[in-house]
Amino acid sequence: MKKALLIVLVFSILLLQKATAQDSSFKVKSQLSSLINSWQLIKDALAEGSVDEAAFAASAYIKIANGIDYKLLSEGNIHALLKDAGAISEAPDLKRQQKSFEQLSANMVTLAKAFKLEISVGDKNQ
Amino acid sequence: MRKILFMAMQLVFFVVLAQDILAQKAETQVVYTCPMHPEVKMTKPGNCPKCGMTLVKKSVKLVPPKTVPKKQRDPQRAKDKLPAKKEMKEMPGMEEKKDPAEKKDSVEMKDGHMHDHMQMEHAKTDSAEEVGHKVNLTGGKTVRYDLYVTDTMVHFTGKHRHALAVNGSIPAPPLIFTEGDTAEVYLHNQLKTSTSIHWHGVILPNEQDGVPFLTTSVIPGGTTHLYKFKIVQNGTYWYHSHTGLQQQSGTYGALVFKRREENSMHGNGHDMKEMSPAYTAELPLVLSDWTDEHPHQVQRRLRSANDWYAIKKGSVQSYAEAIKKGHFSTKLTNEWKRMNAMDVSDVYYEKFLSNGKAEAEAPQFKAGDKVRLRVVNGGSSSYFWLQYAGGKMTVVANDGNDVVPVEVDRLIIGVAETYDVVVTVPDNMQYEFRATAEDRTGHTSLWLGSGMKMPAPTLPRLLYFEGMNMMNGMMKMNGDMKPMPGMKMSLQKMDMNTVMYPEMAGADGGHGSHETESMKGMDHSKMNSSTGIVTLNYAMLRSPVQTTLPDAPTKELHFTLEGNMNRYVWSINNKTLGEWDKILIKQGEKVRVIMTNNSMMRHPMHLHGHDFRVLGAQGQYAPFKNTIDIMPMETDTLEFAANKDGDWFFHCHILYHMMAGMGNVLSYQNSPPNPQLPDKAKAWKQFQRSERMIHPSATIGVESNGSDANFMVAGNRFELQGLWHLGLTPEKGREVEVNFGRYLGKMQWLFPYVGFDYHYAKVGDEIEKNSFGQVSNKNDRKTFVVGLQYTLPMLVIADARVDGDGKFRFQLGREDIPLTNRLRGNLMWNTDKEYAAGLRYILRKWLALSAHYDSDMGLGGGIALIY
Repeated sequence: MKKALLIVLVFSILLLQKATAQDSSFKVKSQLSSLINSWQLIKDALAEGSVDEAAFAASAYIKIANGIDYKLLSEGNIHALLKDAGAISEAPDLKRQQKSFEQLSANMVTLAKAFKLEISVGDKNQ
Repeated sequence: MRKILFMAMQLVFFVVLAQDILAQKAETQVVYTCPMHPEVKMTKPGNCPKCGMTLVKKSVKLVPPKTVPKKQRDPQRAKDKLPAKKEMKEMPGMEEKKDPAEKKDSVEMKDGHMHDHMQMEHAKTDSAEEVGHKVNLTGGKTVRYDLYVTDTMVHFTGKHRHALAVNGSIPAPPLIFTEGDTAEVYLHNQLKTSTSIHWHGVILPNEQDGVPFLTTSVIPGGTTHLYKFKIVQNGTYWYHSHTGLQQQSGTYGALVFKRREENSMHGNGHDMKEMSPAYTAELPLVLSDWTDEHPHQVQRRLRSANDWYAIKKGSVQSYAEAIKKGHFSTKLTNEWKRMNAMDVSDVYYEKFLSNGKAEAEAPQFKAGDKVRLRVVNGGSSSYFWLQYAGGKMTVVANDGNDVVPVEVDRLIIGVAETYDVVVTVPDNMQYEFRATAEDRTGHTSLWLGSGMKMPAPTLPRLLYFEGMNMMNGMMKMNGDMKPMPGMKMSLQKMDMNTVMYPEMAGADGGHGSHETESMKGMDHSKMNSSTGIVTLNYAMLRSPVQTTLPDAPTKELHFTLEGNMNRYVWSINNKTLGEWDKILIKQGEKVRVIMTNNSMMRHPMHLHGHDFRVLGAQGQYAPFKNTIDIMPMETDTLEFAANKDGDWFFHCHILYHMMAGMGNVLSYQNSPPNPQLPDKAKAWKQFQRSERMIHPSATIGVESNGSDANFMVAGNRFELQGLWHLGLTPEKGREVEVNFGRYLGKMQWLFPYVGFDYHYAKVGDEIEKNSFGQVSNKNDRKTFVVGLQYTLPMLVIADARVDGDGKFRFQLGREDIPLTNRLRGNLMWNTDKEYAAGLRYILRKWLALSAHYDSDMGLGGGIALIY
C-alpha cells in the first residue's frame, strides 16, 4: 500500500514537472514572439525611412524586452538586445539606426532559431 | 604592453640592486625621506605621500638583505591564492572544526573555480564592463558546491564565542558561477537546529529562494538540501541564512556571477569603450559586523529599551552632556517630543570585518594595478562608509547591476547592498580600503599592495546633538515626521545626517592616521579639505541600457515605514509581518511601490527574487536594484514587471527590524503549487509566527530597606508587566502587581491593561484617604485592577486605574532619566500619596548601584541586577 502511494506520488511529481516545463516553454514562445513582432515594426519603420518611427518602435521593443523574466532569457542576452535597440531609439540618423539594426537582427535570428520561432529577415521591403 | 615594460624595468632594477649589494656589501645608499615621516623612503626626490612635504636626501647604510616577512615571501603564490580563503585558514579558534569541512571542501569544489577570480585578468576582459553584444543561448556547465554549516568558536575580540561557519570559515566561501551555468549547491546542515540559504538578489524559481516556511522546505539539523537553479544574471550578489538571527553569527558569503564572453564582445559600438574603466584584477570583499553577545540577547535588549549599547557607543546624550555642549534645550525638546536619544544604528558591535578580519591584506597588488572590488555588505545591521586611500573610487555596479561608471570620494553601502568599485593602486605601497560603520564606532580595512601603509581618512565621531536638533525640527508632536516645506526627499540626495558629520562642517580635518596623530594639524592642506568631497547617492546611478517596463496595467502599493524606538517595533503601514495578509499581484502587470519612511531610522528594503527600477533622476535609464536604502522622511518609487510566480518576501534587511515585524509578502495569484511546501496554509502560519518573538526582561533591586523589582514579557503589541516592592519589615509595606495589556496606535503610547494588585502594610489605626477623598485600601489590598497607561511628553508615563474595590489611582512616573553617561534617575508620585525618587549608576550591562527614597520604605541603597 505504502509502495503504491509512493509510486503515485513520484508519478504525479513527474507529471507536474513536465506540466510546468511545458508551461514555461509556452511562456518563452509567447514573450519572444511579441519581441519578434516588435522587431518587425522597427524593420518596417526603417524600410520606410522614418527615423522617428524607428526610434519609437525601438522604444516599444525595449519595454517588451525589459518585461521578460531573466529565467526565460538571461540578463546578458537581454542586455545585448537592449544595447542595439537603445542605439536605434537614440540615433540621430537612419544610417546609424540601420547599423545597429543589423546587429539586433543577427541576435534576433539566433534567438528565433534557438527557440524554433518564425522570423523573416528578408530584405523584401528595402 | 605597459605592464611588460614595467615588469622588465623592475627586473632590471632588481638585477642592478642585487649586483650592487653583492659588489659592495656594507655600502651606503641614498634615499629621500620625509622629516616628519621617517618611514617614508623613496628612491627619487619628491614630496612625501603622507603630508606633502619635500623629501630630504639621506644616506643609509645598506644592510644585507633581510628575510622578507613571511606573508610576502612568495608573492607569486600569494597572487594565485584567494586571500579570503587564506585568511579564513588563519582564522583563530577554528582549528578544531576546520579540518573535516576543509577537506571536503577541497575535494568537492572545483578548484579552478575557487581560484580563478583572483587571478590577474588580462585587460581584454575588461570590456566585460560594457553591455554585451551577442546573444548566447547555449547551455552552460553544471557547477557544484558543497556547503557544510557547522557550529564553531571564534575569538574576534579575544573572548571565545560561539559562531556559525560555512566550510569552516566566516564569511562563507565565495561561490563563482558564469551566466548560463546551472548551480547545484548541496547544503549539509551539521547544526542541531535548522538552517537555510537565501540567494540574495538572485532571480530564480520561487522554491529555490530559501526562505523557510515561505518558499522552501525547512532544512533540519543533520540533513542535506539541494538548491538547484540556472544562473541567469551577471554581477555581484551574496548568500546568507534566512533562519532567525543566524546571519549575525556568520552565515554569509559572496556570489560572483561572471559574464559570458559572447555577451561582452565588442561590436561596432566603440562609443561604449571609454566609459568603462579597465581593471586588471578583482577581489570579493565581504563586510560584516560582529558582536560577542548572542543575537537573541541583542534582540531582547533592543526590545527592553535598555541603553547599554548607547553607553558602549558613547551616544547616551545625557542631560549633563547636553548642558556641557550647550544643548540643554535641544535635549529638553527631544524628550518633550517623546524621543529617546537619537542614533544612526541600534546595536553596539565589538568588531567590523573585511573578509572575516578586522584588517585584511591583499599584498599581491603592485603600482598601476586596477582592482575591481566586489563589495558585499553582509552586516546584520551596519551601514558602512567606504573610502579609499589611493584616490577616487569608480563605482561600476550596484546590487549586481552595471551602472555607468561614476567617480566618487566616498559612498555609503546599506545593509545587504553590493557595490562594485574599481580602485587604482598608485604606487608600491599599501593603500587602505576602509569601511567605517555609519555610527563611527569602528572600522575595518582591506590593505591593497605591499609596503608603506597609506591610511584612508578617519571619520570623526558624530555630533549627536546636532542630529537631535535636526530630528526635533522634523518631528511632529504626534510622532510623525514632517518633511521641510517644499522639499521632496528621495534617493539619498539630501543626507540629513550630514549635520552630524564633523568632516563636512570642517570642524575637524577628518584625517588622522594611527601613526601620525601629531601630524593632524599639518594634514589639513593636503588631505580632503572639508569641501569638495564627492559622496555617491542613488541619483548618480545610471543604467547603461534603457530600463523602461512594458505598458501594462499598474498595481500601485503605498507603504509607509513606521518605527517605534521605545518598544522597538517596526512595521509597514503600522502592520507587522504577522498582521499582514499576503499582498496579491498578477503576472503581467506592473507593480509600483511608493514607499515613505516615517520612522527615525534608515531602512534597507529588500525584495526577494526581483530587480526593481528606482524611478527618479535617470528617466529611461533608471537603475535596477534589489535593495534600496530609504532615509527618514524620504519617499522613493520602485517598479517592476510582475513576470514570475510564487511568494516573495519584501522586508527591511536590518536583521533586528525584520525580526521585529518589518516586512510583508507579495504573492502572485494562481501560482503553481510549491512542491517544497505541501501544506501552504500551515506553512504561512508558521512563517508569520517565526518572526514573532517574545522577549523577557527584568530589573531586580536589592537595597538596605528592601527589594524593588520590575519585570516584563513583551511582544510586538502586548506586554505583561510585573513589579514588587518588598519592605524589610511589615511596616514598610509589601506590594506585588501584575498587569497585562496591549499597546495601541503606531506610536504605542496608549496601553490599556488589566491586572492584579496585592498591597499590604502594617500601620496603626489611622484612616488614610487618597487624593480623591476615598478611603485608601493600600494597607490591605487584594484586588483586580483595570487601567490605562499613556506616555506623556518628557516620556512620563501617566497611569490611571480603578480597582475592584472601586478605588481610583492616578500615577505619574518617569524611569531612566539620563543624567550622565551612566547615571539614571527616576521619579514617581501617585494619588495614594505614595512617592519615590531614585538614582542608578550602571556598572555593567547586568549590574547597577542604586539608591532610592520612597514613601513606604524610606531611604535605601544597594544594587540592581538587570536582565
